[in-house]
Amino acid sequence: MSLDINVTYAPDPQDTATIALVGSLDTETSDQLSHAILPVMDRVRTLVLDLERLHFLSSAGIRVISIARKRMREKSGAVLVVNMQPQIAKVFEIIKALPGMTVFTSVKDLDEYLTRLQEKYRLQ
Amino acid sequence: MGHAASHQFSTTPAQVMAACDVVRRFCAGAHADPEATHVLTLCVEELGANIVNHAFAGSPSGIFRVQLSEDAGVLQLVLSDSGPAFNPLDLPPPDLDGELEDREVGGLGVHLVRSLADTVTWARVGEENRVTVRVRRSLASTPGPNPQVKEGSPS
Repeated sequence: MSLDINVTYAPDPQDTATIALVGSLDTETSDQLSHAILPVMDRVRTLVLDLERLHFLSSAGIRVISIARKRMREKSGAVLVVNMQPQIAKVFEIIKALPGMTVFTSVKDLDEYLTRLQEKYRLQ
Repeated sequence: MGHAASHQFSTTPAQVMAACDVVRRFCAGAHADPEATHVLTLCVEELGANIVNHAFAGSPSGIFRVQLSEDAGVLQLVLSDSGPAFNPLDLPPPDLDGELEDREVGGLGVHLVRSLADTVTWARVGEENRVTVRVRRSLASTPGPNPQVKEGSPS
């Protein structure tokens, strides 16, 4: 399987980008995401990973997500996850990563959260 | 004995994923359920990546073999490589405390394999490392044991 990486910058709030991962994030494709994610992280404060069509995740992919979370936290940003498939959630669960992750089960819940987040940023 | 297959791959990430495709096809032929298919695929990815990145240190000139069989509803995956003697089951458990990004890196792949497979064993056979993974063909129905058995010792 391969990995497609689709990046969308939100018109509002402008400091949010969504990266939709399609396919397999694994030992072969993890470098692809490492390179693609860097310029995105430089531009935004909130990075959304849409995993609806990610069907396979291994520890190589987890390492990239971990590095992204660290980098975004250093700039007072965040990595949010939406639409996780059960087999992907299981992998995160086994490595006990879910408690520290902000995960949304639907785009609607994510949008409501982003709206509240944007309000918070405006007030700062 | 039901289905059986044996394949050989060079030590590159692309070939590890080719091994994953072979495992998926084998699972389909053995009528494994989606959960069992995912577990066995993840096992070959993690163990194969270990061989590529550690046993052969990224060199594409090595070879690893994947043998698959099914018997009495149990899928068996055997990964063999001719790298230095190395038992991945001897790795210390990974750091699972605190936020993901604050943890020590390493060991997650083997931890996933140990957590998901029904049994994982390692043996040094001649000049080869041999890791054997067994997974029930139907994982959706009943939870099973997860004993961690180690076999053999480095020669």
